[in-house]
Amino acid sequence: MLRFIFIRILGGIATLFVIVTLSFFLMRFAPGSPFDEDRKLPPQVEANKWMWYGMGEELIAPKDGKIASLGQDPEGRPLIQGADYNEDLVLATLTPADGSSAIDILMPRSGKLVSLGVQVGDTVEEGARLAVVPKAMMIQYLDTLLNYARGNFGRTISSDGEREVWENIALALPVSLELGFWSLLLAMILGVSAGLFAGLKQNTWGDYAVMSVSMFGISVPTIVSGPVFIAIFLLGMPELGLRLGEWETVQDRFLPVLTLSLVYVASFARLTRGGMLEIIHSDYIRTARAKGVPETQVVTRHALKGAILPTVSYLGPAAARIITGSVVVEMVFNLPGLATYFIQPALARDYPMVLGVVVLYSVLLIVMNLIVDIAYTFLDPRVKYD
Amino acid sequence: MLDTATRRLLVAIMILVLAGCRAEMSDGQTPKLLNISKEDYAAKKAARDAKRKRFQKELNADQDDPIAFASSEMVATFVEECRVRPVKPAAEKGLSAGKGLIWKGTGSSLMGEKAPANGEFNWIEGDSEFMDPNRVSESAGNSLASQMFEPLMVIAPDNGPPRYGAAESHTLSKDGKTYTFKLRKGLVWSDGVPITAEDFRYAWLRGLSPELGSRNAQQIWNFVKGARAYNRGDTKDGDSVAIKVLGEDKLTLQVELLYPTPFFLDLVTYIAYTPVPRHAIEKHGDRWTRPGNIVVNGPYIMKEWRPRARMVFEKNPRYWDAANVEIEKHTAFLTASEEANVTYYMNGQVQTAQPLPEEKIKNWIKDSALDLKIAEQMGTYYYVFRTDRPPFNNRLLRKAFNKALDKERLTSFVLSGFKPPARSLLPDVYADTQVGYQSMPGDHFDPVEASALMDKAGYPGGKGLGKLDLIYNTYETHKKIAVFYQRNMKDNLGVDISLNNMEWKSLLKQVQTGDFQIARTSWIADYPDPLTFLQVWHSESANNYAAYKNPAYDDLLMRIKQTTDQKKRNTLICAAERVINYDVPISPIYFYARPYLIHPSVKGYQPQYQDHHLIKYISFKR
Repeated sequence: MLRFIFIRILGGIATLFVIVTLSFFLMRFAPGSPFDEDRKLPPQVEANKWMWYGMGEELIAPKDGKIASLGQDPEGRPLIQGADYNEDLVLATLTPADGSSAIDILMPRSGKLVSLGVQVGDTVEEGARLAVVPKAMMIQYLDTLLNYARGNFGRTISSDGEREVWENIALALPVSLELGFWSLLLAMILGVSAGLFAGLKQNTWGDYAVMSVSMFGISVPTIVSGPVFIAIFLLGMPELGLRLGEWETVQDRFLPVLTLSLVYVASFARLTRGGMLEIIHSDYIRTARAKGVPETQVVTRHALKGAILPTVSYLGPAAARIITGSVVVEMVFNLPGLATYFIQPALARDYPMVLGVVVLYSVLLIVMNLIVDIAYTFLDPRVKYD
Repeated sequence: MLDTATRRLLVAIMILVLAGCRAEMSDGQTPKLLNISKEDYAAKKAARDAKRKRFQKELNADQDDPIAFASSEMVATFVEECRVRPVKPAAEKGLSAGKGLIWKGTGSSLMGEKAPANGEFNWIEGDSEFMDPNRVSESAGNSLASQMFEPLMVIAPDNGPPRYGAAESHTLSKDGKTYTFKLRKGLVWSDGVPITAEDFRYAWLRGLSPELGSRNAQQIWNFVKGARAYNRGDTKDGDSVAIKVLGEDKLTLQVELLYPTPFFLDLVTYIAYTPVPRHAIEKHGDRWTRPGNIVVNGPYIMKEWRPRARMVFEKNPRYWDAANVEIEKHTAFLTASEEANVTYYMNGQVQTAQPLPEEKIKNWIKDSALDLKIAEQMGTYYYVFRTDRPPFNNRLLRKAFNKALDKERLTSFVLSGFKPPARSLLPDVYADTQVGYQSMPGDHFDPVEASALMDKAGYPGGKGLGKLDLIYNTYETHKKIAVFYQRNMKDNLGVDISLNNMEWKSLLKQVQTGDFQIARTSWIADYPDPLTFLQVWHSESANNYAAYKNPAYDDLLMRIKQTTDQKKRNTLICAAERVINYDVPISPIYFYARPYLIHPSVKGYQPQYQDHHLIKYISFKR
């Protein structure tokens, strides 16, 4: 058992590593940078930002000297700060003060020229900044991994460095977790009871009614049911005193939890019903009945445990879907959860924030699946991990 | 499972529903036949041809090089013509609903007219992750932080001249370049520490420092002498920036500017010019803006901050004018959803809401809902042409494209009908302000002249142009406009345009590196003076995506900057607008307008051209 958990944790770490790597590079391959804005930043300021976030590399003067000329693009036009250029393009030529031969300052790799802070005729000292380009992507990647290993998740770029990634997550995560937890709980209570009821009353009108209602839940997406609930309960019944976008009182939680759980009620109900049908016709239940065990005891003590097994194994994927599904519900109800950090930072190319959220979601999912696997061994004695 | 009868019934219902949908869809879409008699048609055609001939003759007389921009001789003529231009009184502008308002409801209220019982005024703002005045760089952050930090001057609630904030008086040197502000006596931070002019100097230098790398530093270095070099890191000496603290009591602040800047008092109302509490910053570092740590000098202090959710403010009892601040507590809901905004308002959670979904606005206009108002804004939505290479290096072609777009039709039928169509770069709001300038409209819609221009440009009927590319960022309204534009160009010029929508950052990347033919962008005023719009088209402006480089225009801008007399200045501004109208680096489409809901019981929330509102002016009708 311990061995199994250990292997699963190792597997989880490997998965996490792949996710971090993929999202890191996918993010960087998207066009534009976090510092492209509708009011373009002066190149010098943008260069400072690349450096401040540890994403930029300075090209410095190797010696004291004078800038003899500035480079040109392949078509002979002057270089534009902010445009992309190929590797080894001459950015500037420096005439050293000690009389040695002229030195070309080259583009170290293909990519963006963030800033070129010199003019022809400028005298520069050794070590002075001549230009700034983004660091090699591999180096940025290793830097990020190193920082993550140190527990440093960085500062968000959307806040211009004012807020930390971790700080934003710490404020939003409890809301999302709570929403997910209550929804899962409600979905389980409703779904399992409905499933048991339907399973025990197979092919009766009660069975049909319960299953039809739960099918309705599975077919209506939250993006539709949410606004409908808002229209009916929030705007239509002001006496209930429900509020949008708040997460303080019990009433505030009512609508979002209901909306999110409805989708899963049906899944749980169907699984439990199926499980119940299988168990209730099995030999050991017949034996129990033959021994004269009362029907309530047959159900609660013998059938129930087996009947909810499929439900438990579905908990892992359900938890995952609830976490991702909560994004929509949080948007619809304007809740202060993680949802907004899922979309907006990606559009703004807020690299640290995006990566932070992706890592968080992945860790949650991996842990959730592990817990389900372990829970399985307790519920089904046939399952053994060696 | 179901018996046959039930199944039949269900099928019947479905058929009925589908039939209903079809009826709904076809309603109003029946093509209308054009009912024009042959004689009518011939007469119209003859008139068109005659007009076209006349215009062609006019065009042929024009010997200007279509590749060159307006020359300095032309600029001189423009200036002369602008000097004698008759200016209509502002009243004739035809605003139906009073100063700054395009429209307002007169019917019944959506929410009743009773003030909320708890006396709280809650509102909606876009999300902002900044709260440090030296970092804030967009309108949501500016609007939130402005409730807490008070600069020397503050905006008036009604588009009037700025009022004194932390300053109680000011003097201006004869050359119009040196402003001396006298601070109010006895000002303190919310923790009781006295405020002096040193706090202002510290804040402005902090905003300029290259280490902070603030986006809003350009609001200072564009105007204050010596600030640019300091911001670039060329010098570390704060004394090289012309900001001086004077007097024994250190309550006088003197600023020397690069140019006489008649709108400097408006400029210092902006968040980049507020003081920041040095003692709190040194104590808490980057976490000084968190609730509990934050120290302010304005009317409100932040009690709770959940980014992308909400911000709660309470009155600052140490604010100098606290006695006149009526709202004790207010919450700003930070949302990006127009639908949610409506729900917040209709549920009574907020007393004002914007932005709003266009569909709802249409309905409210129809019902004349008392809560809806539409205010003019200082912003222009336009398409920009890349002028440094073919085909749009040809002025006549750009002019043809601008003339071929029916902006009236676009704004009234494609958009919701409340946005004023634009014929110029400058929105026509300056006649009402201290500037007193009336905008100079450029080309009007004329498909006949547009196609004649195409002939002269060498692309008769769009031949030889191939397929042109229009890029815009993904958004429903942008798409509608682009589709209308595409249709107009095809019908009126015979030009094929392919539409290319992309996500915002990708669009920015393309326009900034010049990789486009036509692109959608816009400009919203940074400060309430026409210069903010004109400056965009300076040769060295980073936002000049058109690559429009006209030395004569640059000279004109420099003259505007150096002129103090407002009348002379307006003459030059008019000439600059004429140059833009002549060179057509952009095709203006509409001017921004801001529809918002406001509870009828609220007093003191008035239309504001830059959409900056201070809660301290607000109260409830009793």
